[in-house]
Amino acid sequence: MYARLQGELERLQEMLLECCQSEFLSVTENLRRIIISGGKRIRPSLAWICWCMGADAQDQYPGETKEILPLMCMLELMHTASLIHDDVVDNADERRGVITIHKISGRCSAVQSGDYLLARAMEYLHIYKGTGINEALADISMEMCLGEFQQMSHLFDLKACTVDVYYSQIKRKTAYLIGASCYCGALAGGMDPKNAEILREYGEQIGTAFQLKDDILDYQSSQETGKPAGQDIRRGIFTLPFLLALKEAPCRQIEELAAKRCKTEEEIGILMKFVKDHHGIEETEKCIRACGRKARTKLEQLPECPARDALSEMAVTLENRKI
Amino acid sequence: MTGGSLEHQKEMEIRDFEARIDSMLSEGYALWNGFGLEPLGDEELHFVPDRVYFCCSGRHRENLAAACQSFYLFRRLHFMTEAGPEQTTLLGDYFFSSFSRYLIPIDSTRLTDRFSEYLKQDAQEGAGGRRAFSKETYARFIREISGMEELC
Repeated sequence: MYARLQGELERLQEMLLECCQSEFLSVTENLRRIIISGGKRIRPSLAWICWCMGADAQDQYPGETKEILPLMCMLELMHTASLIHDDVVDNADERRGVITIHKISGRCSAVQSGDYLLARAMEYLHIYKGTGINEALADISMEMCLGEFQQMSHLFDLKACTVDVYYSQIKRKTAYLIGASCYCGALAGGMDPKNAEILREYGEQIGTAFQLKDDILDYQSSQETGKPAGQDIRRGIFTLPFLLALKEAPCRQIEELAAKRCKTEEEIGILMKFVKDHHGIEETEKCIRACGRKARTKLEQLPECPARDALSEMAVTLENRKI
Repeated sequence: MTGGSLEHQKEMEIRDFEARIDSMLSEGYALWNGFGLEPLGDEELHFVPDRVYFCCSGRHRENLAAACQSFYLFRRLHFMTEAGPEQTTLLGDYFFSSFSRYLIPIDSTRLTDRFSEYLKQDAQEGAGGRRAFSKETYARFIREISGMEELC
């Protein structure tokens, strides 16, 4: 199964690079740079595996099978466009070890480059007319925006950012698209919506686990992760490790420090140490394992097959990732 | 009915149509105001829906107007990034999602392709250095697509 997936991902890469072609050389180069810089291709991989579950079992799922590569491409284009836009909003210098587009060409160029990828994604919509896939992607796109607004409105506001609010944010920003990748892949493979919905729920659990892991990695040193640490707390984003540490050891001084808009490096260090000393990381790891268990429980509702095994392994891989 | 009454009735129909489109996009307009951007005037709110109203008579008219207005605000905002990158980028993305939501139920491959082509050209010119969204070009585009056979 993984050899087949690898082949599909290679074809996907070619398709993505073709989508970067533009009349303007600078646009092509900027977009090619971000595509070539890598990325885990989680969303298209999940879509493909879920597609296989349907397409490889036509006797069980006799619905019409559609091509999967255009859907994989749409998902990755949508995701890449959102990363380019996020980098503008966050004023990030680097993405995947490569300088960001807005640092090279300015904010307007970067935002428009992301929009160009959305235009390329639209070219594939007609393939999935009538399947429910296009509607699902439009809904998720809206949820992602609302998740970003929610996060923006809670920056530096510890009172507003409860654990429930945090989970709502990460579901919208991350988990729903991963869930939709599974759902849409399954539909494209001819699976009925009821069973595809089970895969969506699986995807949302591992999407939540994925984001929780990302939030833990932000508290680890840059030597371990390859990325500067402490970015979330620096920007006033309160993630689960911090919220759980504060729950274990409520501390007014820490709350006041966290709510400060301009923190020194020393102050960032104090907050990160607080999280580590009060088990913010360990407690969040427990939540990740709980999500993994829920994801694998969802899969048990579907018949055994190689694709189901692959999804189960994917859940374990994402739980244990170090980068 | 007299000519004056007919004209008044027509005027009322247009205002009703505008009000329905405003209602469909009310969440987006509330977000716009919440971000403290310069308020949208009557012309900005209605020049796109009005054009669709006059050029398209089919059952998709409202969805088309909402899609076109959302697309207009998406493009306008993404050419305004220097004015406030966080708000304009995110709100522009919101209106792109809104555009998608209203476009998809119209279920016209030709229409989707026309928008895709328009966005491709507009976005790459924007990325390549153009710094303003052209209202005139967009107004022409709306007239062309509103007249498409499957929308009438």
